[in-house]
Amino acid sequence: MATRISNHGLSSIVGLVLIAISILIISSLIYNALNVIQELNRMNLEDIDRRTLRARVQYLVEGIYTSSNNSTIVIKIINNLPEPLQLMGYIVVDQGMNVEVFKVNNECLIIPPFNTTLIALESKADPLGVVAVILIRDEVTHIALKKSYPS
Amino acid sequence: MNLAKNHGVSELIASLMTLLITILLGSVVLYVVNEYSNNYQMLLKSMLEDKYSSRIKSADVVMAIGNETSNKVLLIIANGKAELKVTALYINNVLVENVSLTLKPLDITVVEVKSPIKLRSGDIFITKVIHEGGEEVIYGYTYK
Repeated sequence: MATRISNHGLSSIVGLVLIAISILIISSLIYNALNVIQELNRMNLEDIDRRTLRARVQYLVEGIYTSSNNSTIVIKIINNLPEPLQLMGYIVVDQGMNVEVFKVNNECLIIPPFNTTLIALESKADPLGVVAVILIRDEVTHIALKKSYPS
Repeated sequence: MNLAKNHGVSELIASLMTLLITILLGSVVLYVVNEYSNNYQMLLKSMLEDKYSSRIKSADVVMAIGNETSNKVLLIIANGKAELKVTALYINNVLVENVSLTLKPLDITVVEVKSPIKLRSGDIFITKVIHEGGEEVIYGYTYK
């Protein structure tokens, strides 16, 4: 059985054009959305990088301090990282849990890679603990310094 | 061969109607897809802008010391290269009220806040500082 179908073609051409336009629009929207998602993923990776950076400072930057009876604290910071870091200051906690903050002059003291810095501080009292505040790239972190007893 | 009888509308009107329905349906589909994707894109972009602004903002809570007698917590916060606002402060997940703190760039700030919970000597407490660049958590110890 055959059926006669009239093909005047106008609607099918318009339909095709519409489909083509919609494919174009949708694909451009998907492309834009994928770009934004990619940027977000990159940002998330940077967040992970920040946490890794802090962990690297904890493991690869060493700090030692010695204190003499007249409350002079000598601090030694060893930068074992392959990149420079900046010292923002020190926090000295004494036996009575009082806190003394020492800020480094000229905003920050730069310690080059694989280098050591020695600093002397005059504290009010004998320290219980000393913490160094470190700036690496744009990230702030801190390390607790180990007490070294003079031999 | 059977020829279909044409009792309905003419071929021209049928074509026009098909065309109209196609355009109408196509427009509706495009409109819906466009609206949905625009909303989704705006959401993603605002998330991205938040991330951009918080990227250079970094703070580190160095210490938290509790005092049983005064029932206060001493916080030492180090700030990074950009000025930073502390938006909220929690001690053991309880909000500390009336905390308005702006940290200067490359500064180490010592802040004393009244604890919203009763601090007892020997207790460990959790301090959460929420700022523009994210949040920092540190455990503190309470002294007499």
